[in-house]
Amino acid sequence: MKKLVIVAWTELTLRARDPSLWLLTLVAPLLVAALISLAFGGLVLGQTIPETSIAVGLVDADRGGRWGELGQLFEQVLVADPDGSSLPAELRFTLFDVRVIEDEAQARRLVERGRLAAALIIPPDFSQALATGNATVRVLVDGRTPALGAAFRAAVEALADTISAGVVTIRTTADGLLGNPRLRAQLMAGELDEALIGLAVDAALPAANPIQIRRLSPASQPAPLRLTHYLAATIAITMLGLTSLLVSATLFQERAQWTLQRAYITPTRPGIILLGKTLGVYLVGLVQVTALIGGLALLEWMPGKGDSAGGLRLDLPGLASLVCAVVLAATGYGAAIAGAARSYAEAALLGGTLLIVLGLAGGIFFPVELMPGPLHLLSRGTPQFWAMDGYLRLARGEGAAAIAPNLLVLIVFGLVTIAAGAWLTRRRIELV
Amino acid sequence: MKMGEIITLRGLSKRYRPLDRAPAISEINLGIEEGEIFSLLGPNGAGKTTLISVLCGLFPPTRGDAIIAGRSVVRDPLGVKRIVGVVPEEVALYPQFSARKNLRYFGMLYGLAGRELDEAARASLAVVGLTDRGDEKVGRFSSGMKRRLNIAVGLLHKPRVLLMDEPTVGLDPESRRRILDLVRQLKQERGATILYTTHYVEEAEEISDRIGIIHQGRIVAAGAVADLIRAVQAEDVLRLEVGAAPAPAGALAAFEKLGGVSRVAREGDTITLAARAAAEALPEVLRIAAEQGLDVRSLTVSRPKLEAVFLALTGERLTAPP
Repeated sequence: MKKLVIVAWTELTLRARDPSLWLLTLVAPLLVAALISLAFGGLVLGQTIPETSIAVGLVDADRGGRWGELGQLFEQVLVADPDGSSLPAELRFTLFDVRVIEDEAQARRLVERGRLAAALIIPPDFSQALATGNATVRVLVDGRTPALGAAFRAAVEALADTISAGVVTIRTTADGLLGNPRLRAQLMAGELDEALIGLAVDAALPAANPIQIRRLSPASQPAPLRLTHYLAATIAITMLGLTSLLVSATLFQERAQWTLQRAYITPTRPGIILLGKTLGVYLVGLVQVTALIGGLALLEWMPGKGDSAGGLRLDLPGLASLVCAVVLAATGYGAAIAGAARSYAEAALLGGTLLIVLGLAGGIFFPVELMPGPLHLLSRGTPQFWAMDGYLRLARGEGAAAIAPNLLVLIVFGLVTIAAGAWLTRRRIELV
Repeated sequence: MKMGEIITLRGLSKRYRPLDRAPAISEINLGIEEGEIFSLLGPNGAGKTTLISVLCGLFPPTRGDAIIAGRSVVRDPLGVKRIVGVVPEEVALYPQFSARKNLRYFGMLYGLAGRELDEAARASLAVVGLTDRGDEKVGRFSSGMKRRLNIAVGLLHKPRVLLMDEPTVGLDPESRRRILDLVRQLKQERGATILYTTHYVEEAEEISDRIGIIHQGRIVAAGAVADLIRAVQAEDVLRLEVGAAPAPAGALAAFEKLGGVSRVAREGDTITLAARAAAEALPEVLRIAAEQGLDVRSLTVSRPKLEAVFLALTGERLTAPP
């Protein structure tokens, strides 16, 4: 155990004295992150509006009022006249594919599952409430695609304005009628229709839009994820991959200068030496990722970066365990590459190429949801997928328990590749 | 194992993968006495480094065994590593660390700690003459200093057996001289048994009690230098410089009739005689020269060298020293 610590500590101090390692794996990614943060700091994932229709829902529970079911006005525009050809240009919401949903609970489920980007909930008392000037409709928004939800909400607001404008027109007409002395006399004499009397009473409605639109989040609604948060994970995992390649370089260098063999010919078990080296590299990786996360967090909190409410609120135990597991997997990857390759040039080529392929397949460079089905499944065979998926789960507010499968896969991958790397490296030493 | 032997090799063989390749060392049987310097002489690729690697437990032999101070490299490699010090051909040091830190690191791997470790590092630096440079980074050392520190690491745990693999390769004459003196000093002052590999004939002749000649993975001969020369019946060469005047016709024939002389030749003003024991034939040679009226201006006797032994045994020449 003592020798394991000695080897690990020596490895750590050796790497700490290597400025190129820190430059490549810490300074460079922080600079890149800073540039990205400055350029795209405000962007939120899913902000791009797709060219295809956005699936939204409509729950019309309005039971109607004195003037009928005013909630149907929303349905008429959004569903019955989807092209909006009969409407003014500002009300042509062709972007949306509106589905009528039976009830609010079902709509909530569909939004939570990501089947709908948003849903409009018209409550049972909508028409009655509108007559008293205090009507409310609610819009459920999928936090994963907040931009789409915002677009739908804007459309609903436009519609609400139009409906309330209609109500104001009625009120104005009633005001006009009441202002006519002859009609007023008839009214007083009870000669006019009861409906008109109602209108006259309702003329006291406020001038402001009586329809309030309230934004709602489902119970398990994920928090919105900024592009910079996604890129932060991309940078951290990619740089960790590069660190693992430097590990290969280190092992090759030690083999070439015979310091590894010299350690082998001391009365120390080869397994302890390789484990110590691996542990040292693991600690280097931990320090790097921790420093990288700290640096990225500082960038996030930089003045002028917008409201702090948009920042990530990650589950810290979850993040710590994920970092430990990811660094273990990266260390194992580097050890396996070092054992499999015959030279450093081969390790750099093999390791670098594999890193890019696994990164692409694993969703490091773009979300795996964009991939076709079979590739989506294939991505689960890469450690990068489990690392990124774990991070995204944490970013969406899930805790350590939710990423247990991710941790398990990454730890098993790390341990298996470390064992394979140690065995291959031992074999290689015989071949030198 | 014979009495006094500290290293015994029994049918030691090593074959690298793929296993259909020729063995790097094959069926080596050898005994090395405690306290002697035994040099293994052979060209690059002869199997010297493989033999050292097997003996120090870097990897196991394919067949056979080696017993070092009663411990088997096959059954007890860790036990062997505790009593063997190794000086590899490569300068196996961390250039980023100071000399002392290198010594401390490898010392800890040998199980040294605390005051014992400090003392071992200090003593090793002193033996190789680097006491004043202990805190300097190895990367700033000259080649000779690195080689000496490389030896110091091998001495840290005061090994009974020291395996030195071509420790003077690539060094200038002055640095080589220091290392050869150091090797002799280690034998005299510490009583260490040293297995020293080299492809420099002069080095082997100078420092060794016995020499083994290794060729294509096999030990083709082993023994003291004189014994090896005697064994291959290498002859002395006697050269007479006799001036430009033509030698009398009977002179060469008279030399040929001398006992022990195998060949006589004249080239220009030099007559060359090959004899098994030139010193014994010398009086007769001078007498014949006087009788034949030869004007002998100079006479040189060349004793056969190890190089001749190697040539006789392997049919190949060794690389000349730098």
